[in-house]
Amino acid sequence: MSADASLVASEVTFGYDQPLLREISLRIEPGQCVALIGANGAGKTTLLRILGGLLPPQSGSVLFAGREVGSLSPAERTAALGYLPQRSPRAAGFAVHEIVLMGLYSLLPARGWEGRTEWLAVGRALRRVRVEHLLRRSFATLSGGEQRRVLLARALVAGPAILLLDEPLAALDPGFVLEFTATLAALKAQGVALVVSTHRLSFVEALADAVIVLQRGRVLDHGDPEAVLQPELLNDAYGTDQFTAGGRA
Amino acid sequence: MSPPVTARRRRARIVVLSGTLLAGALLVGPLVGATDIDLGAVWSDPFDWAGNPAAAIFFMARLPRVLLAALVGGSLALAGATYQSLLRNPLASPYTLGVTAGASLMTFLVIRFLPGSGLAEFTVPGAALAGALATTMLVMVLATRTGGTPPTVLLLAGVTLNFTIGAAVLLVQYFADYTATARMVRWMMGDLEGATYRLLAVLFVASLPVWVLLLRCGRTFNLMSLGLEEAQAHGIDAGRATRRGLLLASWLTGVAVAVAGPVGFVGILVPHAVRLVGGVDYRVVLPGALLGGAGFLVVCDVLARVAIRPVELPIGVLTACLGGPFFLFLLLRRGFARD
Repeated sequence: MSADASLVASEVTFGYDQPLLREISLRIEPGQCVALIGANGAGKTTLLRILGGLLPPQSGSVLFAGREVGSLSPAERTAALGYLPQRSPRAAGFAVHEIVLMGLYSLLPARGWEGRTEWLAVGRALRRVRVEHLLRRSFATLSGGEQRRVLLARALVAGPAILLLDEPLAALDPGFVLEFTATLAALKAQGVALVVSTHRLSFVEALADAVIVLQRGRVLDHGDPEAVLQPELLNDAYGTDQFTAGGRA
Repeated sequence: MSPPVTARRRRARIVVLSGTLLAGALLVGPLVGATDIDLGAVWSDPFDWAGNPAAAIFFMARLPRVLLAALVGGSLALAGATYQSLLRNPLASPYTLGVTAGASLMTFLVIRFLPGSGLAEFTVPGAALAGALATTMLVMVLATRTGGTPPTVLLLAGVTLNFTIGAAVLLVQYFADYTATARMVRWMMGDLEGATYRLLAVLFVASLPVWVLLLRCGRTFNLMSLGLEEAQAHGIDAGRATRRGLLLASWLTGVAVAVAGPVGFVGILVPHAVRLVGGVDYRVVLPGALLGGAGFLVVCDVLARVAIRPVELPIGVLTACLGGPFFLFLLLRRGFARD
């Protein structure tokens, strides 16, 4: 992984009829974990999509290693960014191994086929999220949590420099949340940068180096999780008074 | 952990299976019909068509027709598989976006207003192709203006155009005389009788490059079949891929409908049959659909010729008769609803 493998968003603005994100700037360095939190509709998913090059910003820029994310070739993008979508696809008929293999498509030669190297990578990724026993199962028949793990394996399979994870903990059982957190910590230690949108504040406290609190498309606050995650700010971010009353997610 | 059966091996299996079906159908197809002919008699004097009626029937009547069935069947099945991926709808067919309606309208206008030239080899096909392509372009423009090219917008645009053009088709039919109406109805049933070697050559040249382009889209179609976000996350420009794929598939459909009329169900039935045997990976489905569709329509043509001989059934009637029960089978198959 190159030393300048950082992801830099500058003054990113995006919207349809109404603005969804306004002048968001952030920088993610290798081995760093940034958590995005905020109420439903705050703009977390839109920001992740823009960071991943799925949506072009209306103004501002997103650069990976100094290059516009939108200009990366599919192979460069695969090596740079792994993306876990918030919603699982229907994927009717595809087996688990076929889904994970898709994470390597753009690294295969134009008319080539997957070989031993790719199968080994698929096996490693499935083992990493502890679902290797599901290899031959139909993806559509898995539980929601199992599908999340398989999609995470696909995001990991190419060994990207940055992982963009949109609510990765949704539908996961508590045991796997702990395992998953440990897996991400290991990836972080290896220099992988993580951008995670989540509603689990305990996860943020355990893993994140920085947290960005979004509210209606703007940055409400950002910085060290311990300093930022104060009950008053959380009340403000989530539109409740329960945090000062001792509540915790 | 042993790797599962790879897509490459499954593709080889499907290509062998569907290729065998096609080869067998091409071999038997020209020999059977109202009058069965013997291959030995054909080859005893293959070029003396005046003195050897078996050779004349084989080369002049049956062989071009069988080859036309193969070209049309392969194109329709490949187009059907493409539509199903890009529209993310297993029931999508080559006709979903109104290609048949456009082709029908132009054909009926030619039959109604240019009856003399309607029999010319390329007049009706040319009109049908123009109608098919104009409709496709119109769907694209409508979809792009109303919200881009997500499947639901495309489907809505297609359905709307189907109804609108369908009304115009009925109007033209209503003002046609009995002879013209009979020709229109017959055209709608699908017809492989007009095959000539010249027409085959044009059809082959018009289809081959598109086959090649579509056969290279397997990985893209796999990702597109999961959703636009999935495709874009892997570096695919989903809007561009959709427009390109649908235009290529519509070209194939337009060309096929232009020469054979709207033969139904091939574009749905064959890709599903291939999936039952080889799985849903489009790197397997696309070549399987091309070869399997070609073999399937040749078999259907043979059945249409021999089922109640000496009378021939319209090919479209036969494919429709097979298509309905096949879907019932799919519906009743264990696991269909689950997947």
